[in-house]
Amino acid sequence: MRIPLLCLALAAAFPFSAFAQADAGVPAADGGAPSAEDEALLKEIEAASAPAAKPGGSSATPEPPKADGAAAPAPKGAGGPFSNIYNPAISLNGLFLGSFTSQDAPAEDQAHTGVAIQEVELQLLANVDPFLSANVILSVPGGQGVEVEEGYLSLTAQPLGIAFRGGKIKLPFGRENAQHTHALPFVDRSLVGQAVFGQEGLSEVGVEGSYLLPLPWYLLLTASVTNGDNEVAFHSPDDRDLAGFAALKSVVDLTDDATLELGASYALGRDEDRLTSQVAGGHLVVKWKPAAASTTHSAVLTLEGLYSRVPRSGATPGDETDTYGAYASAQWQLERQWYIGARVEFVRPAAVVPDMSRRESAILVFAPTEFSAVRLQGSATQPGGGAPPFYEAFLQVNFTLGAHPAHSY
Amino acid sequence: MRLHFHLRLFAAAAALLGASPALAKLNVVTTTQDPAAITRAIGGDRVNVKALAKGFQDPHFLDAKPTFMVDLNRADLFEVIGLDLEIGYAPSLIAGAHNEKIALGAPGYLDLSQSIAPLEVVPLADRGQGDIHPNGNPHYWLDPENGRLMARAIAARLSQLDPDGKATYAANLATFEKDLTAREAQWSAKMAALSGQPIITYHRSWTYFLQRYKLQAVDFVEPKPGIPPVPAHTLDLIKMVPAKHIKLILMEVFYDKRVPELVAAKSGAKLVTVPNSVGGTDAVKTYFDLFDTIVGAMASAAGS
Repeated sequence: MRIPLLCLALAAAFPFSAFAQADAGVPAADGGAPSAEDEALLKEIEAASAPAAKPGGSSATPEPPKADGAAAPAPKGAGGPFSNIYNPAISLNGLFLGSFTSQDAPAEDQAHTGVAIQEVELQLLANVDPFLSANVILSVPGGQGVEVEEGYLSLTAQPLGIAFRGGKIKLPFGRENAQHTHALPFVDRSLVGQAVFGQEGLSEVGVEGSYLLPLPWYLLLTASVTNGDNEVAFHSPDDRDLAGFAALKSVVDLTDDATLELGASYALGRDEDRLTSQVAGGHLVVKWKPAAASTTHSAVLTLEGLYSRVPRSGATPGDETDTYGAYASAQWQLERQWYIGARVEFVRPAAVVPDMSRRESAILVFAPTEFSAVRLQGSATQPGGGAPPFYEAFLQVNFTLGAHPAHSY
Repeated sequence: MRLHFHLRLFAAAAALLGASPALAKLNVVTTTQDPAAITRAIGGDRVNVKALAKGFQDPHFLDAKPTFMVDLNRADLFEVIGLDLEIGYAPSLIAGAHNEKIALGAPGYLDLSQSIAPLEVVPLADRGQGDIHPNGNPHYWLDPENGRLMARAIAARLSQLDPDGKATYAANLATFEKDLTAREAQWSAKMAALSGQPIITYHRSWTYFLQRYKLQAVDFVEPKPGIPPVPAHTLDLIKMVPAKHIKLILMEVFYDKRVPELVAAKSGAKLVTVPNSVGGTDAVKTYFDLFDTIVGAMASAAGS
């Protein structure tokens, strides 16, 4: 059932329309006899397409040798047999992190006191050919082991205005999920983001289509079919169990200097016990950046909430299967190179005895240029289950080398 | 009966929305105001033009706002300055616009830097040199002769996309060039008194302008392109002004004035703050207004 659907999707997506446009001047083949004019044209095309009678035929006349018999010089700019000209845009992001925690024995997924490589990320981006472009992002979390964080192909053509990409994709589920670690507004991900999708977020192998609706404002519809492999939200043992994702994102100008973004996302798949699991989310972002002071002043207010229901066998029907939470954050640019921010959040994870965790964070950022930043963050966490509060502090150095593409708005 | 009514209503709506010749204008989006102003002069009534950046905004640091993608989704032509001026946002905008007509290499994508001879090409660029543009300084619209070349490139591309308007575009181009030639004579006459003088500018925005009018930029308020002023370099500038007989400091309207004002106050140089794009101030509505304002302010400061 899925193979015919896949073929249909590929047929719709592959850019044969580009060739159809190139033939716009030729009458469409409607089953009728070709005219004499068409036949003559076809003969010309066949003759031009036939293999040359001998190397260097009329259609591929070589450069005439010089009178002295020397070969024609190589074209200007050619780099010989080995050249960097077609190398992709390459960039590297490095994150070094110094951490302090007041906990004597933090859990494995919590901050530990010390200095470490938080992550190194290598991105390669280029057109493959006239039909495809590729974006591959390799990450080295903690400085150990290489992972494919993202790696996808995008179709150059957009049949019916639909953009397609396929591969491993950080799905645009809400606001935070698609952001890479170096682009997060804080040193760490939100509690609810980690509780619903895990440390790496919702990054799945699949095919995605997105369509910008023809409306006076920005309304983007995104849908994808993925392998449903996320270890927290899905992770069915049967590879045939796929997951679906859909999102709507709308952005409007409140003024020339301010925008409002609203988004809703939903994903459906099967969990480790092949039971249906669902995740829903919503977000709101208000951005302000005055055109007259666009390099020195800006503000961002973000609200995001996630709700997941992952039944798993053995769980009794009820709230124990549900994880939910939200965060609110604000960032303010004080000067060209200085930012401050604050975040409050809570999460109520699914557990046998679920209890709410809360955290408050504040951050100070010095960014000499858009290619480097030093970030100092402090957090106070009140864990659930009656555990005592603990405190964390982070000093992060963040740098970018090379041709890194712009981050999404 | 009811279905019939709906069909007629649909037909009427389709006729209104359809490509009636009177409504079939080319939709042109530009990154900055200057190509927009030239496109309006060349395209006349046959084009709708929208510029993404305001004239008083630093064009290096625009955001790839999704609302811009809506404009680009309907665009027939996207004009960029090029030379990496828009590297931080144009690729994202094109990717998000869902419009194949304006993709890189398509007829609806026009990189105007291809029509001029760039200055300050740095083949061995390194970010240690600051925010430089390896393929050339992108502020080329500040030489009026480059404005002429931009106008020709725009007229050619509009004619390609809208062959029915070719005669109109040619006539408007001829008018633009004739007016430009006449104005250039006035601007050159006013700038003659400044010819050969050393000058300090805030950013490297004025390379083409200074070359046209034979002024020499001896230093910049920014220690390196894109890097805000630092005290040691500012002190050097204050000492440099009397030593090199510098009379003017030239800066754009969107940079922080505090340091240039301090340098001017301590050194005796005059600070001239002018728009470097159409729309930079309310008075600058056309490409010619831009040079009237810059030349007028500089000549006035030099003469007073």
